[in-house]
Amino acid sequence: MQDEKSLVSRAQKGDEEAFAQLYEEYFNKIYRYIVIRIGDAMEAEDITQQVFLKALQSIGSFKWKGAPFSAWLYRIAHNQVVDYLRKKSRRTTVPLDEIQLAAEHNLQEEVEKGFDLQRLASAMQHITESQRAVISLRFTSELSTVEVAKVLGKSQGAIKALQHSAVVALRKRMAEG
Amino acid sequence: MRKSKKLANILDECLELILLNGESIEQCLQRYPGYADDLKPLLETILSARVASDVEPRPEFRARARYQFRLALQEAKAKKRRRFFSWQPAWATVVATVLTLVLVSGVTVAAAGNSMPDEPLYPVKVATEQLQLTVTRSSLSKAELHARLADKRVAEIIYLAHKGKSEAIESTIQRLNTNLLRIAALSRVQSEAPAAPGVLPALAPAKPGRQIAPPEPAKGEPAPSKVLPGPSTSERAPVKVSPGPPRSELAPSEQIPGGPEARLKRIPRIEGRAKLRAALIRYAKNHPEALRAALKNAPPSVRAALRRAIAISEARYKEVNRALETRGAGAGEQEPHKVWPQQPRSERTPQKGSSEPTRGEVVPKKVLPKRSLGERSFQRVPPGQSRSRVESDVPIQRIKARANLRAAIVSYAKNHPAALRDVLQDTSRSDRPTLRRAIDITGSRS
Repeated sequence: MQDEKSLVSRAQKGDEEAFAQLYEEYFNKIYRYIVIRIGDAMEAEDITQQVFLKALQSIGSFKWKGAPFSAWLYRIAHNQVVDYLRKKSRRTTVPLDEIQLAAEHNLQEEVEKGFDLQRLASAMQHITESQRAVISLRFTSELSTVEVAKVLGKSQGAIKALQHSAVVALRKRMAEG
Repeated sequence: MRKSKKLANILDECLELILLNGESIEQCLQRYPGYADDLKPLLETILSARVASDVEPRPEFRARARYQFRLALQEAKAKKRRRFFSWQPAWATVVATVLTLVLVSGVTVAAAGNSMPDEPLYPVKVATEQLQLTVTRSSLSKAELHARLADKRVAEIIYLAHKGKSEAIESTIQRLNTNLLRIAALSRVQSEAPAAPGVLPALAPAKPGRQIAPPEPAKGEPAPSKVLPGPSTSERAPVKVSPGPPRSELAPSEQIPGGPEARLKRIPRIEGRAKLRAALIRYAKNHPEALRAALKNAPPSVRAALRRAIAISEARYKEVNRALETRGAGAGEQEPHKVWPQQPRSERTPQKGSSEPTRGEVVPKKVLPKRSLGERSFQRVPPGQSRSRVESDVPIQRIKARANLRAAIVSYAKNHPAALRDVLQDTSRSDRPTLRRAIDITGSRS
């Protein structure tokens, strides 16, 4: 991808192609983050589209404040997820068979990964919302602690503590099966 | 607590090394041997959680989302442009358009007249059409113009369908929809004074009691229950809605107030209405047929759009027909009062050997409960029903609303399963059972 700063700057001036490139770059990542967070593939599709529409509407207000563009985009995704979860009064059941993995050349590996994903998705439903947010951002989107802190509006120390407690809780759930 | 905080920091550091630098768990544990027992299970959990980074959206969803996002990008760009001009008053835009068109070569405008939506001069064509609509004053002329434009839109849709340009078809369908809606709206325009120029009243019979039967269907065709009949109607329709017997045959009570001059003035308008009616009847039949013919050879990418175009044209022409019927019924309230005095029922021209209206005939309808039997405007009697049943029918607005709802449901019943079937072949195998269920449900529920 071209220099992200120049792409974002052109997108802010109305360059369709620049925004389209940003869209292509982050689409899968945003979707991945959302689907792991809420555990529902169909809802994640809708929310993903909402995120990019929202980004399109408000890209003019984006400012470089020491955080990458991705942090701003994930922030929008985080807010959309929060809104979605607020409307849902109960925990989401996980339509595990709808979450799609990248195709593997080795069928056995693909099947094993599918099982691992099922275990992970199931375990994710039993940790807190904040812990889930940190896991999704750190492990699926591979953002740094600093970036995750900007997305979630917390301090770096708080993110590290959340991350630790999240992994402990996740380990406990996955070990229980 | 301190140990926990330290462990959290070490865990974070190890995560950075494993996730970003590709180090192994063993390498990390070697850095912090004092914490190895606590660290190892946590790092193993993190590695198993990394399966989530292989999650991907479905290809069909991604393609659909990309298309919709591109549309949103274009819409956002167009909005910015519109905002730039929004401060100008509408007349300034018209004046600017006129001046621009005058300054631009006449050849350009003429060349644009035949341009298609994927050609550079098409915006000029659209602007010219808008200008024509703006400067056209009478409702009748506007309706005629909209009808001609609708005909052009259908030709454009067929052209785009052959080229497989589904995006351009959608915007052309919107324009077609607008043209047809405007015809229906103009058809409903009531005039306080029937003599007002250019008003588009329905084609009411010349005098009360004279009943206009729709043209008989051609052989082999089912008898139409509505006004829109078979192919040969257009030639006969003007005859059917002719102003009536020659002046000399009119009874004195039937003569138009204002005398022969007023009647002569009405003849061109009556002929104009008849001409428009004939054109609309022709279009109502031809447009859906042409679109269906295009559908047979169209590429799969445009079939859903073509089906939508067919459904819209059928539904809108039905509305136009209904608007013309209602207008005729409504006008019957006024025109017989103002133009033709009401005749008692017993004095009306009898039907051929039958006192009850036959199928598909237009007969006087009850206007309001307060009026006497003699004071009726015109309403179609449904087949098999007697006039007395018609008298007790619900108010016109409810009938219209029901008819609109029915038309919408008919169109959805056709479009929804078809659109789902279109997507079926591009859907992954795992999703097909779900999609087939959706097709079954939409089909059975409608």
